[in-house]
Amino acid sequence: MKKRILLVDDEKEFAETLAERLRTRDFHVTEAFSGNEALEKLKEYNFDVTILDVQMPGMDGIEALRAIKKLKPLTEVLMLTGHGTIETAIEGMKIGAYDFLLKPCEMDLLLEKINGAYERKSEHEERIRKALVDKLSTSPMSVLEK
Amino acid sequence: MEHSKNEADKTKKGGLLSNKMLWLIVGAVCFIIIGFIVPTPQSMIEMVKEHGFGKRLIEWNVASDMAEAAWKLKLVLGMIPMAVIYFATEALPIGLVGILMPVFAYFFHLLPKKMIGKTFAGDAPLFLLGVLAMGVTVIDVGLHKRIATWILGWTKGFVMPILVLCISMSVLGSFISAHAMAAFMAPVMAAVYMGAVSANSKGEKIEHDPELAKLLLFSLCFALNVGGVGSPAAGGRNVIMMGFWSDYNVPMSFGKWMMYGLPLTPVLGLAVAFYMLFIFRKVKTKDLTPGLIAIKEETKRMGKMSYAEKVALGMMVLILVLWIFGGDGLGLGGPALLALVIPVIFGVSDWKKILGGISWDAWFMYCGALTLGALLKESGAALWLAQIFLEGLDKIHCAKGLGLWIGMSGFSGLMTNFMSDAGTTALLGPIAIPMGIMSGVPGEPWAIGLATAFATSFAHFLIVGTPNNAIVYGLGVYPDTGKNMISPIDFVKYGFGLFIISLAITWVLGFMIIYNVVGFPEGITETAKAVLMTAAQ
Repeated sequence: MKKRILLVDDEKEFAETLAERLRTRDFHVTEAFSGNEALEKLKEYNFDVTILDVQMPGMDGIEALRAIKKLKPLTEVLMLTGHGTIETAIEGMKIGAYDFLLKPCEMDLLLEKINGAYERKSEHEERIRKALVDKLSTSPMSVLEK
Repeated sequence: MEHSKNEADKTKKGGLLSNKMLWLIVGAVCFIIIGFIVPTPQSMIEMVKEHGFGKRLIEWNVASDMAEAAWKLKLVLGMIPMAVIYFATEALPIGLVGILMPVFAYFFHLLPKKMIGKTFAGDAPLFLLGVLAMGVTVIDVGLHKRIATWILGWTKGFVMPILVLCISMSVLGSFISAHAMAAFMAPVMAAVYMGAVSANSKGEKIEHDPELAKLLLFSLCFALNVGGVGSPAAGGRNVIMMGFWSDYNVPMSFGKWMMYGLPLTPVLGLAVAFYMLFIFRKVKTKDLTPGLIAIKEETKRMGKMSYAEKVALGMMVLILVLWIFGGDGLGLGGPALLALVIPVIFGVSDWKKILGGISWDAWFMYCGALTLGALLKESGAALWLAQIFLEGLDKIHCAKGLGLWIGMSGFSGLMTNFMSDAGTTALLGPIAIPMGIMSGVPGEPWAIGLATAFATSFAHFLIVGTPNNAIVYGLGVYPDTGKNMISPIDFVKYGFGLFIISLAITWVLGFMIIYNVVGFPEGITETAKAVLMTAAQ
């Protein structure tokens, strides 16, 4: 199954180019050009990894990260940052981002981080799945609990 | 304060059924009303007098006179609605309901204490212990995944993968924990679905085909359910029935069960496949090949078969061979216990892991069921109930043979949709066996016991009927949206028809053909009747 990526960056040209490069490497990529647009897409779909630009007009990266983690806690977030905003990226990692990357990023490094984020999400999901199965095996009725 | 608020919120959310305290009280009240408030019917007093149950209970110092013996019988009967309520509402964990049986037997002095303890230490409880331990190792080393990918990895197209899925899952479900298979296969089915619909989608956006999602998940779920008829190792419910037969001195061997049950599984699996393909004939995606790559990827990811998998496979085959050809001396418990020993000796699992993985809940429930069976049999309650039911069934000409098996399996099948399958067997088995014996038809009580046990594998139409249903529902989500692929009401919509079909196949192929072809050993009805009437003689 293709890994699902949400790419959030207000620099349209950069986002489109990066998305295309990721698609050629067999990722399923959706683009969003603002924090709000990203949240709208996240409401509708699950993504494995969100690549999030730290510096965006309107809702900034940290604000968007908080909202993403609230909406889809399992989605891993990679912060894209410039040299001037590393502090923000570190703050982002403290509140749940998987890692950060300096812009412009090398493709191999980006792929490595995406795969790492995906692995972490998969492991987390597996643990949740196991707990759910244990619960349902002993009490099928618990499936009706909200 | 906060805790009680949360509890109250939970109760509110889950509705009346989740109010465990309420059902705990309702069950206890039922027991008190039947046991202590309702007067003992004359028919019970006559029963304990005429059939010698009273005399025996007096000899055992369990009762001082016939009236007290009849009251003890009534107390045992009071435990049945209580257990039904607890099983159906999960007011207590099933293992704890099982423990209640000996607890009541000790505290109300319903049987001599030596007899109560014996129910927990026979061949059958050890058999189940081994079956549970084998499941722990097989799942721990991932052998179930390997087998599933071997079976499905080569398929292509649309109809063939569904046919192979249904037949293989039904046969595998006869020997390997169906819950574990459901837990592994549900996400695999979701991946197969995504691969298939993605290939069928024109743009980047995935065009979903909900009918295909339902076809894949229900095929998996129902095929695993029907696999329960194939062998005693399919689940505790079958072992419970084996235990009841042993109590009547007519034990059935592992191989013999397979002769009655295993031929049914591929046919039932095939019926699941055809029924699902017919119900979901309007699916848009008619090629699963792109999705089946997910299974091939899984196989690739697993690499070569590991040492641990080889040991687990060898252990499974050895135990199976010993169950079938090991003879009476080994019993069922002997080979099963190897599942506790082999993984530790060969270093593929450690002792604590095995102990931690065993479902003690299921084991205690099962042992409690044997205690309840003994209580019903020894007090005369089973015979009293059997006579009442037989009188009722006689009016509709279903009091023996095929009519009785159809009636009993129909009732057992309905009941298992509302409560635990093992609970259904535990409660119906002790009543069904004397019913069969009293009907006097050769082959009883095996025939009616199998009828009762087979039908507990058809919990298709309620989501809470079996953990398989709940697991497939819980894990069957669209990976891209996180929404459930099926809804609880879908089980009623698509499962009820299959429930009827499964029963019909069992009636025709099982009762009319296999029972006649395989036949039953001579004299088992007489042997079991002698045990039932020992006191009278």
